[in-house]
Amino acid sequence: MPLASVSWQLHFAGSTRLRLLMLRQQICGIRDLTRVLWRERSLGYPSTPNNTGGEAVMMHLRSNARAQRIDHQSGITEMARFIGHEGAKVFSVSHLPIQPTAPRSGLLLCPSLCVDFIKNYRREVEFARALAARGIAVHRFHYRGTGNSDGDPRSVTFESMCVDAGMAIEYLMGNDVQHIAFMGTRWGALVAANAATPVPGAPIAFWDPVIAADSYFREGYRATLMSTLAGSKQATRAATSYQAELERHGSIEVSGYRIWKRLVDSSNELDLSTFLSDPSHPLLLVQFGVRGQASRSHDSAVDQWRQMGFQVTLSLVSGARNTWFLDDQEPAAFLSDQVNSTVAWVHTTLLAV
Amino acid sequence: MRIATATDEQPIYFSSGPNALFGIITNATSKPNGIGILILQGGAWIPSTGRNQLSVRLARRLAAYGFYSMRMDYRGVGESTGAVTNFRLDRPFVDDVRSAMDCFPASVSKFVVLGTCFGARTALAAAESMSQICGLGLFAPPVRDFAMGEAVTSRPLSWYMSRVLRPRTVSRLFDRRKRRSYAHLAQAKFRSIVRPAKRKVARNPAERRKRNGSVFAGQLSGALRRGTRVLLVYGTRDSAYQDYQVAVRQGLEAILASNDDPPELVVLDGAVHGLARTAIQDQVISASERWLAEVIVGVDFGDG
Repeated sequence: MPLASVSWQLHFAGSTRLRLLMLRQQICGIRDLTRVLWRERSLGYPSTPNNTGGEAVMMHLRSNARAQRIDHQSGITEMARFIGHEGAKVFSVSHLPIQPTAPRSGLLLCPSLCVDFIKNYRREVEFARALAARGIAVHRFHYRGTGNSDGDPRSVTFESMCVDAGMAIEYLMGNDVQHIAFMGTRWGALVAANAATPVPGAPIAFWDPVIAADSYFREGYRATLMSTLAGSKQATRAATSYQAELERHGSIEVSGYRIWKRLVDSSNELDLSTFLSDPSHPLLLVQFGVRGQASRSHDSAVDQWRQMGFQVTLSLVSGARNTWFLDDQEPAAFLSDQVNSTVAWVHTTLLAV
Repeated sequence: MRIATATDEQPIYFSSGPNALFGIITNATSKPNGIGILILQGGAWIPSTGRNQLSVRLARRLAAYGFYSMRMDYRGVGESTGAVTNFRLDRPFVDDVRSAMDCFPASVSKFVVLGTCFGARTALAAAESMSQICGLGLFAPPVRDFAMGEAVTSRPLSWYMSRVLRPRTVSRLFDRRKRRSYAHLAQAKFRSIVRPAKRKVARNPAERRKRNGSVFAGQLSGALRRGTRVLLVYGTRDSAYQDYQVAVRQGLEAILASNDDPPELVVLDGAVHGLARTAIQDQVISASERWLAEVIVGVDFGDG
């Protein structure tokens, strides 16, 4: 059973619960803003500067509630803030169109973990801006225990990620969004697919998705070992036993990140296909490859989904697939193909809903 | 002493030239000491969180000592606007640093800039023109100036010659993959020599200064002369550390020794550049905390 489907059960447009939620957000926002502005005044922050240089007109509120930027040239407003309870706040950014589509549409973007998180960061921001410029609101967030959010990385589980995604959906829905789409990058594909389960017909886009959680951990662990012990027998022997390493130390090291046992245990035997049981979801899979061919795991997953009745669009972006290491590669090399194909698909699919 | 959380933090957009930059300010959680910490990332489009939340962890820990801190995205990186196609050490983003400093509360009068790789060189360059900077924490700062991706090809021909006959190099020639990578390297170096534009650059004295580390040495000694406290952190496996050792042998040592407060050098086992190991990340955080507490604030760090 999808783990987070119980964590949020929103009835969308017109629901009483949603209206109450929005009212609560507004009240909390005003209260937080007043409190923080009062505190800032006592701390002696300089007055809020207005940038009128260039094309963008921006302003910010130095409040714990949010920082806001208005870009009239691309027609978007960006709002960065921490949401949630004290000590467990989730960093989130909303990219809102100044002129939204009718009916209003939105997309929840679920990021990945480890080096993937950093490697795809700018691509996700560019994607969110491009989509918002076409009238679709986008909400991005960092899972608790990762990025700018609160939380102990040791406590991160797949369930906690799904709860964070649920909270992010509530904020996205707070913008009067009536149609929602989901997108997941690498590990985020699992979270996005799970979050989409209660929304029949919601489009789901994946960027180079992780098909099986177990293979993600194994691949990352091996890649890290190879980088330190390239060619030695020790690397080959050790790479076969990441679970033993996990049992021994409670975590494994993957390219400068620790993956803790709780996360591995909570996502044991997770597979992307288990979340995709309702063929009403249109699917997009964007993948990188130098030879213009999808990976075997993606190929077989796509075949399986098509057999189940899903409408799957496969987009191959030419570029080296280097998941586990940071390199000097300019992200713009991938950016335009990757972003444009996804933006066009989401836009078309959401309007068709 | 309380470690800060997101409740003590404020996201912020601020302008730097035509770009809107993004940062997060962490407020002090104990009595403010009037010093602001600016945390800069390396190149490679790393967002302000840093690898494995290193900047987040560091900022939140430093709040307990009374520091305000800010982690920021350069132009074209993370949440900021703009575009950056390459990170060149001879073109650091000093304007971004200046704009970020204006965002701190008025009670902050002095700044310490912490940076890794490109961020370290940006911090060093910023200290030349900003007298408010009283300290620099430089992690694996490159000594020679080169563009991202040119670290090896920018080395002088003598460096290649000194390595070509080493037993290790010769033994690697039996490995087909290594042989191929050596061939690629040789081709790249050959192209950098024969290309007319590059040759012209190589004859330019200013360009030669950049390549041999004179710019770094000049900026470092200038900062020390102005009384800026400096922490240098290298790893034994950093190629920049080898360059640093060469620079020290070629006269940097005398320059550094002539100052009343020479830079504190911390050498960690492994590679600091890229912060690709959690153990190194923890040691970098610990070294920064100790240096900031003892040298900048003047309190006893004890066992941390």
